[in-house]
Formats: sequence, structure tokens, C-alpha cells
Amino acid sequence: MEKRKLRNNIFLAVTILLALGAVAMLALPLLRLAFDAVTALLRSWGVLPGIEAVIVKTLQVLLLVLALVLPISLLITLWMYEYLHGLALGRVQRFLKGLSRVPAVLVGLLGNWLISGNAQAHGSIWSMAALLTVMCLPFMISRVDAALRAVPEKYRMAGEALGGRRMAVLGLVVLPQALPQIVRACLRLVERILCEATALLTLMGAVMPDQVLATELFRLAWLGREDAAVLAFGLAALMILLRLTTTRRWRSEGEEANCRYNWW
Amino acid sequence: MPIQLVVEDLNATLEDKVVLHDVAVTAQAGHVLALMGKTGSGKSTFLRVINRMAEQRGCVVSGRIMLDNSSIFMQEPNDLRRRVGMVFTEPVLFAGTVLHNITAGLRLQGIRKKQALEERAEETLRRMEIYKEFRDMLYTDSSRLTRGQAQLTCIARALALRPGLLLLDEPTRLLDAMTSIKVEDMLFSLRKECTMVVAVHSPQMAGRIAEETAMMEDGTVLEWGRTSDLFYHPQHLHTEQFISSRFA
Repeated sequence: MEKRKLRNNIFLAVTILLALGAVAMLALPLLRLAFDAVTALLRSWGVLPGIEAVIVKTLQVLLLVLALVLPISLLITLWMYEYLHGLALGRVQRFLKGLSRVPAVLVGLLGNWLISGNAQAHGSIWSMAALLTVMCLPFMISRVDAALRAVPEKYRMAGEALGGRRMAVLGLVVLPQALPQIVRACLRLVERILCEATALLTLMGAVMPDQVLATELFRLAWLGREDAAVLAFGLAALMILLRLTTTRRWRSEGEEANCRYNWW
Repeated sequence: MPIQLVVEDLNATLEDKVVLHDVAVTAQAGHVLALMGKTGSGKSTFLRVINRMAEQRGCVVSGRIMLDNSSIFMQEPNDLRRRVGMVFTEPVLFAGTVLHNITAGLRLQGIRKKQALEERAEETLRRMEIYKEFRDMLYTDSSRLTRGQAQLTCIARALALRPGLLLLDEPTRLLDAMTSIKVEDMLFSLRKECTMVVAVHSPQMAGRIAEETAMMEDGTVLEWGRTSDLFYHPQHLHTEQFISSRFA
């Protein structure tokens, strides 16, 4: 019986992975087309090039990373929540926690090594987004997993007592209950992408010719330009504003006390 | 339509510990059966065995549990739970509005039409005779409700599925006296629509709302019968002590 259950779980996991792969294969070209169209439109309005181009590219990278990280992390977390228990769960959680604390520099070095043979990949929005996704996925999975597990068992029981099937209860009862924590995790993700990407992107060779805010800041500071201070102030003000406006709205009780990125 | 519950030779073990032993009681269709007993006597476990939630948590159950002559073990647990509603001691409200909560059972079944959901919510609240109180609160966030209103919402949520049997696990234990009376009155008036099995924390509540009462102790039913008979002529010392509030 247990073996059969295990086989079923493995089959389900493989099916989900295949489905994800298929969706990614279909969605990525479409996303690329959409981004190209937006960029062309902005260029026709005369917005590019200049600092606006940097901001637009930053937003593009941000949206792309969010579009990749959110669905993948949510699906993996739901799978973990439903099918991983006991020892295996503990091991996976520890592994993910470890991965989420890998310094951005290390991920950048890895990215540099991976794309060293491909000149086109340097500064490419897709390679940047892919690398940032690799950096952010473990962090996001850990956070969403923690958010789901912080929902008390009584909610699930109440949902099941109404005759709801497992996935229906998860989608309509548990997930909405965890939503504030998940939104909070998304905001931390935005912070990481905006602020911690410098080392990663610089190391992978993204500084020239196209920059995102983080690397532009690095470049301007390196050249001793005054713009660097203005940009740094703007970015810091944006982060503080984000914190101020969201901390009250999405306050969570179970914030990890020892989290490296919890600076508020 | 109310359904009859017949339980015979019911045994349940959880992690090799016997939690229910030779339990046998009957709740007639349209009646209220009260379960009295100390904390840990097996009342809540008994309720969770009836809607098969105990099995899901690793409880091994044997015996006969019949709902209108059909065994619960022959039914798919989710289908069974749509016929057998449950209300917990602590009101558990889901994220969203009051309407969202009342119709949660229907939405879990895949019903999404707003009009159908609103109609069912209104019908349920009217049956419970609390529509006037809740009419203006249907789109209020559920976190703003008082504990009494929250428990009424939970009862409405269970009743919205039109169950034939309703299991209530000490539904008024956390409520103040006035709200408790209100809930009890409402349950009493609803008994012709669905049979109820109520775990009670005080003998007074059993005396007020139940036609039949069972006294439980250490996972077994010491005695059960008509509430008046049990209260006036208890056969067991523990029952007499509980009724005279030496335990309660």
C-alpha cells in the first residue's frame, strides 16, 4: 500500500514537472515577444536610451523574475505541502534554507562560469532573469512553505468537515489564509532583486552594455559620478517607502526572527 | 431531511490506545442527542468518528455506524461530510466576507454562481431566523465578527449544505450566557430539519435542548436514554455526580 502510494506520488511529481516544462516552453517565447514589443514601443516614444532605459530594464527583469519565480515556487510548495512528510520534508526544508542563504556573489560566479562561452548572454535580460530566478527560488519556496505551514490545522479540518477535497481545501481555505504571508514574501523578493543583484549581475558581466539599476549604481560609483549618490538615495527611499507602506498592511506574526533579510 | 443515526459496537484506537470502547447509541431522525461527560471522555472523538475525520488522523475504527440504514464506511468520506455537517468548539472563520464563509461548503463543491450562493446564504439565515441580524453584514470581513456571530456563521456554513445530521462539538463553550441561550434556541428550532448530536459541556444544556442524552466516561457510554429519564433516574454514580454538577 505504502509502495503504491510512493509510486503514485513519484508519478504525480514527474507529471507536474513535465507539465511545468511544457508550460515554460510555450510561455517563454510569448513573454519574449511581449517584452520585445514593449521595448520597441518605448523606443518609439523616445524614452530609451538614458536612465529611463535602465529603469525600464530593471522593471523588465523584475517582472520576468516574478513571473518565473512565483508560479514555480507556488507549485513546488503545494507539492511539498501535500506529499512530503516527516524526515524527507525536514531534509528538503533544510536544503532549501541552506540554498536560500547562498551569497549572491557565489551565484554570480556560477553565472559567469555558465555563460562565459556565450558573448550574447552577457547583459541579456534572459540570462539575468534566469540567474536571479536561480538565486530567488529557494528563498521564495522556503517563505511560501513557511506561510502555508503557519496556517493552523483547524482551518484545514473545518474545510474538510464541509466535504471539500484536499486540493479544493488547499486552494480555497489554506491558501487565502496564507496570502498575507505570501504577499510579504513577494515584497521581500522584490527587495532582493532590486538590492542584492549588484554582485550577481556584475560578476556575470552584465555591467556593459546594458544595465539594471543595481549595476548602473555600481558603474556610476566606480566612475566617481554624482549620479550614483542620487540613484542610491532614490533606491534607498523606494525601499523604505515599500517597507513603511507594506509592513502594517501585511504584518505577520510568524516572521522569522533570525532571517538574514529581515532588517525592519 | 433529518436522518437516523444508529451506532453499535463501536471501537476506536489511536496509536494503540483505546479511545472508544463498545459505544452504542441511537439518535432518532429529527431528535437532538446530547453527549455528556468530562473532558477526555471521548465525546469529540465520537463525533469525528461519525464524519470519518478521525480515520483521516490515524484512528482505527471498527463497528457499525448506520445513517438511515446505510453504513458510513460504504460512503466516500467527502460525500458523507456533505450529509453530515460539523461545528467545532472554536469558531473557525475563513479569510473573506461573511457570505464567503456561509457558502464555503458550496464553493468547495465547485459552485461559483454568485446569485446561487447569495440565495442559499439567505435561505439558510432565514431558516436559522437570524437573517435580519446578518442581512447587512453579508459583505463584512469575517474578522470583524464577535465570537457569538462567528459561531452562528459557522453553524450557518454547516447548514448551508442542508445536512441530514449535524454534529456539534461543545458549540457554546466559548460563548457568553446570552449568546449561548440564543444558539441553543436556534438549534432547538432547527431539530426538525436535521438530526443533531451535540457534545455538551454542561448538563443544563443537555436538559434544555436534547430529547436523548448519553453519558460518556473513558471512551464508553455509561448509559443513555431519554433526557428526562436520565436526569431523574440516573443508573450510574458518575451520571448522578455529573448532573448534580460535581464534575461540571
